[in-house]
Amino acid sequence: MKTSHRNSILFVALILLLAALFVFSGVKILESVLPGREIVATDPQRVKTIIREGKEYFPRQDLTTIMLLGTDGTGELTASNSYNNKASADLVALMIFDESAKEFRVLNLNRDTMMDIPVLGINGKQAGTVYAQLAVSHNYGSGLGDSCENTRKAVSDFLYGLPIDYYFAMNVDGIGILNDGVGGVEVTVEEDFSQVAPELKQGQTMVLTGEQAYAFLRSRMNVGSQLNTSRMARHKQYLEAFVGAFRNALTEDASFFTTLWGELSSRAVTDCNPMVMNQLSTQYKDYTFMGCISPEGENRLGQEFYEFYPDEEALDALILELFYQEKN
Amino acid sequence: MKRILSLITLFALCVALLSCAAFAEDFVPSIGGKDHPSIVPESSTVIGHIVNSDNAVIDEVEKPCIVVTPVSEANTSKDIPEAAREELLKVYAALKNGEMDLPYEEALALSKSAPRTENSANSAEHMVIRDLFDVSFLCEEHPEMMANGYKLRLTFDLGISSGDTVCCMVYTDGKWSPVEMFNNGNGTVTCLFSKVCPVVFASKQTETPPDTGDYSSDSIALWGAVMAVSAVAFGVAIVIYRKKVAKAD
Repeated sequence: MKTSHRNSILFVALILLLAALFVFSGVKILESVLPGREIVATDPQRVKTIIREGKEYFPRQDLTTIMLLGTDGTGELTASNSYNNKASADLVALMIFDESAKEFRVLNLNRDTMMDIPVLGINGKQAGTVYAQLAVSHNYGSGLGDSCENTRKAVSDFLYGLPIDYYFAMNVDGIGILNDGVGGVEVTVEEDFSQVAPELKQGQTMVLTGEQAYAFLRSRMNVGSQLNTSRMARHKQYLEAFVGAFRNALTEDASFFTTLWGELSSRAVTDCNPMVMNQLSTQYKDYTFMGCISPEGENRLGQEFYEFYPDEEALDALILELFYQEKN
Repeated sequence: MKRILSLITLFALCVALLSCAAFAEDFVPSIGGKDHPSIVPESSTVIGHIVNSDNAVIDEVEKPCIVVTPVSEANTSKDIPEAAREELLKVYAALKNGEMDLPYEEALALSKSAPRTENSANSAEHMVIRDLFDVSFLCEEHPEMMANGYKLRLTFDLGISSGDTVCCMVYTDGKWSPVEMFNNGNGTVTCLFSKVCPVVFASKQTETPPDTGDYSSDSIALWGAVMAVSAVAFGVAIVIYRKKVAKAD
């Protein structure tokens, strides 16, 4: 009888274990496909409180961040034939969705920002770091997800270990697809494009076609100061206008982004599945857009290339303002 | 009047063209990734030196005499000797598949300025290859010099710091051999090669990128399978349990 009783207990325990395993598997699957996950700090070193002037700040848990990458490659995205690739990250921005205030902003990082970049070796493992411009972080790896992850790590480390929820990377071919997909984007041309794209008349406000958007966003040689900082000002203007155009397109057609993704997918790589992308765009489409910001700093000409050094105090204040809250 | 106007127009055009040239000359291109560590030349024409055992210069190696070929250009480069091309591709495939053993310990022993841990037996642990490329001579005299026991001295820009653990090896005669290397503390390393061939730089593996937001269809499939198996097992267990209870009654 005793043995029988013990066996019954063991049996019930086994049933409960199987039930728990079933539920746990379901949770893991849901975590992978649903947006707005809790930011879980698996490494205490990466997400920690900060003390400034006697006040304690801890990372906000009500933010979702999406890293946008614009790479300078063209054509369909395929893995390179080596452990490196030729596509640098020309645009690196974070879309920061504040789920409490129902607003979002874009943090645009200068591609020439000097920081410790992870180096990916032959087998994709990190083999130390190199102190270089942010743009080259994407050159490590095959040019696909691994390169995006490398840039994500560089940006995350730069921002005090900020967890970045998703990334979305696109090459320059995507500019025209996105621009035309939303019906064109209206900008005011503030610089002289006469030597590069004469149809972009200085001082004129116009709705850009895909080709014009490409010239507007990419050109540096013979435009303005020829510096990346002036190009970033155009990125900011374009992004702010694009958000409005994107929203309008989404309002007219709820499945607009899914359709657009169909055209864009061969030029883009992301760690969101289409269902998540659709849910994100629906969830955040009514958030108030608070504009684009960039860290202050100094642009210096290095031995060969420009190097951007952010003002450390200003960067620290910006990180606290965007990603932390004061402990009460 | 017409002549004056033509002259003025011509003058204006020249000024415009010169401005364009000057404007474009001021243009600094954007940095891009490098497929291989760049060699720091000794001068505008000299890329390296042939040295003797005392590190005294025997001969200068001019830039056209050396070709460095990264893996990405192994199939397309017109400069790399054919045998070197095949060797580079073969080695790359083998390294990617983890099919080669490399003498990290010996290479680290030849790497000066590398920090050594107290337990030197562990210092070769967690070494990973960060760079692979081919170095080949294009001028005949230099291979002959090296056959007589001289070495090729080249300096590479790795962008590392003085405290980084880095070593260098070359693949010759079917095996990897360590290369004497000096970390210059300014991001560059200087290497002394007995032979030229596929070259690797290896350094300590650091943390891999965190998996904070990956959507992986493989992981979903795995958890889906676990869910299905546990559901079936749960159902079977319930049925057996109910039969047992019924039997006991």
